[in-house]
Amino acid sequence: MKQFAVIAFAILLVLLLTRLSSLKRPSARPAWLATFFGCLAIISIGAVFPLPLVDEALGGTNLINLVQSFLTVTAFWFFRDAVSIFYQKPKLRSRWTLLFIVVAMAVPFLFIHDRGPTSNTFMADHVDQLGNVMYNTVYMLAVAAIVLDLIRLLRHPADKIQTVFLVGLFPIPFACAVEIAYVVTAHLLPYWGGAQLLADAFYPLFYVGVSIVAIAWTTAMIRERGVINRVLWKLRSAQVAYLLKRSHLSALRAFRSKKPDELAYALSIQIRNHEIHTQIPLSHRQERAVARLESRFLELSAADLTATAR
Amino acid sequence: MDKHVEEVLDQVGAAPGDDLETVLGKVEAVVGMPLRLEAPMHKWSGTPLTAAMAFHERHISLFYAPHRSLVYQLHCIYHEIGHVLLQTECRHISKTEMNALSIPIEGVITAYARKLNPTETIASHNFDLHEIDRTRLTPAARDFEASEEMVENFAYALAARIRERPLTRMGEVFA
Repeated sequence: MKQFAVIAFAILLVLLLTRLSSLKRPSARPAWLATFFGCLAIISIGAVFPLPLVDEALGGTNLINLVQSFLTVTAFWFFRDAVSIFYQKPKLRSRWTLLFIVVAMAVPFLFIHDRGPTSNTFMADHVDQLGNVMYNTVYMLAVAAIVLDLIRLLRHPADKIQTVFLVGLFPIPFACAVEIAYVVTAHLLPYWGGAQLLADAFYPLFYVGVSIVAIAWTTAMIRERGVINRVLWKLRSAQVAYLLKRSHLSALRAFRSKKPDELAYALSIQIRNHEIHTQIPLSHRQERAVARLESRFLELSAADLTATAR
Repeated sequence: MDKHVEEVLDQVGAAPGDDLETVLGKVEAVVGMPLRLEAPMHKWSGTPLTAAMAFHERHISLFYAPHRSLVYQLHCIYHEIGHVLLQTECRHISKTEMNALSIPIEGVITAYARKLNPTETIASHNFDLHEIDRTRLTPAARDFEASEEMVENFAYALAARIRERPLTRMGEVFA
C-alpha cells in the first residue's frame, strides 16, 4: 500500500527541488513549504527510509507518528495558504491555530501508554486505547477540515488544472472519514473483520488524491515556466548549429545553453545577417531548420507589418 | 548589457507581449515625433541594406526591406528604432569607409552573440568571417562600429523584453 506514498513522494520531491528558486518570491513560498512538509511527512511514515531509522533519532518510542501527523497537517496548511494567495482570499486565521491543532493532537497522544518500540503498525497496535482514538480523530479531522476548505476555495475551477486539483482533493476527506471510522470501529468492535477493510482503504484514497494534486501542480509548473518551449528552442538551436557547423559538439553546446530563447533568437538573426552580407543563400535544409527555429518567435511577430505601415 | 540601452528601454516602457504598433506608439511618446513605418521606396532585394531611418521636419520614417522572415524583418525595424532612440545615426562616414565595414559590422554583431552565449555555434569562424582588424578603421568608422554595436544590442534587448512571458497568477504561486 505504501507504493502510493512513494509515488506521491517522488512527485513532491521533484516539485520541491525544481521550485527552489521560487523561494525568492513571497507569493510562491507557501506552496514550496507545502511540498517541503509533504516530503518530510511521507519520509516520516517510513515509506522512503525504514521507520526504525527515522524514529531512532526521537528515542524509538513512536514519537515519529506524532511528528508525521504534525508534518501532514502543516503541509496541507501551507497548501491552503498557497491556494488562498492564488484566489486572493484571506489566509487561515493565524499560525496559532496550527499550534492549537498540534497541541490538540499531542495531548491525547501523550496519554497513549507503552508507546515503544518503533512500529509500522503503531495505530493498529494501540487502537484499544482511547488516547490513540482521540489522537487519530483530531488528526484526521484537522486534515479533512483544511482540505474541505481548499475544496470550497477551488469550487469554481477556471481552467483544467484547477479542475484536476479539485479532483485530487476530493478523495482526501473521504480517506480521513474512513480512517476515523476505522479507529472508532476497531476500538469499539475489536473482533469485527470490516475494520481491517477500512484500514486498507485509507492509503489508496489518501495518496492517490495527493498524487493527483501533485501531478496537476507539476503540469502547472511546466506550463507556466514554458518548459516545453525551452526544450524545443534547445532542440532546434542544436539542429541549426549542427547544420551550420557539422559538429556534434557544437550542437551539444547549443543544446546546453542556459538561455535557449536568447540563443535561438541570436542564431536566427545571425544567420539571416550572414546570408544578406555574403549573398550566399541557405540550403533548403538550412532554410527549413532556421524557419523552424524562428517559428518559436512567430507568436510575437504576428503583427501585420503592412497594417502598421503608414 | 549596456546600461544606457537598459535605461532607454525602461524609458520607452517596452513590455512583454507588445506588438510593433504598441512599440512604435511608445517610442513616439518618448521622441515626441510621429514615426512612420514606410514600405520600401524601391526594391531592396539583393542589397545588404535591410532597413533605414530618416529624420524629417515633422516625422521620422522607418524603411524596411522585404524579407521572407518576419522575425528578421521585425529585428531590423527594432534596430532602426534603436537608432532613433539612441540618436546614433552616423552621417559622417564616407562610402569607402562604409564598404570597408560591411564585414566587420557583422563581426561585431557576431561578437555580441558570442558574449551573449559562449558557444562556438555562433563564433565568427562558423561563417568564415574575418576577425575585425580595428587598426584598419578610421575614427569615424570606429564610431560607426560602436554605435552599430550599441543599436544592435538595443534590438536584441527589445526583442528579449517583448518575448518575456510574465508569470500568470497560477505561475506566481505554484511555478
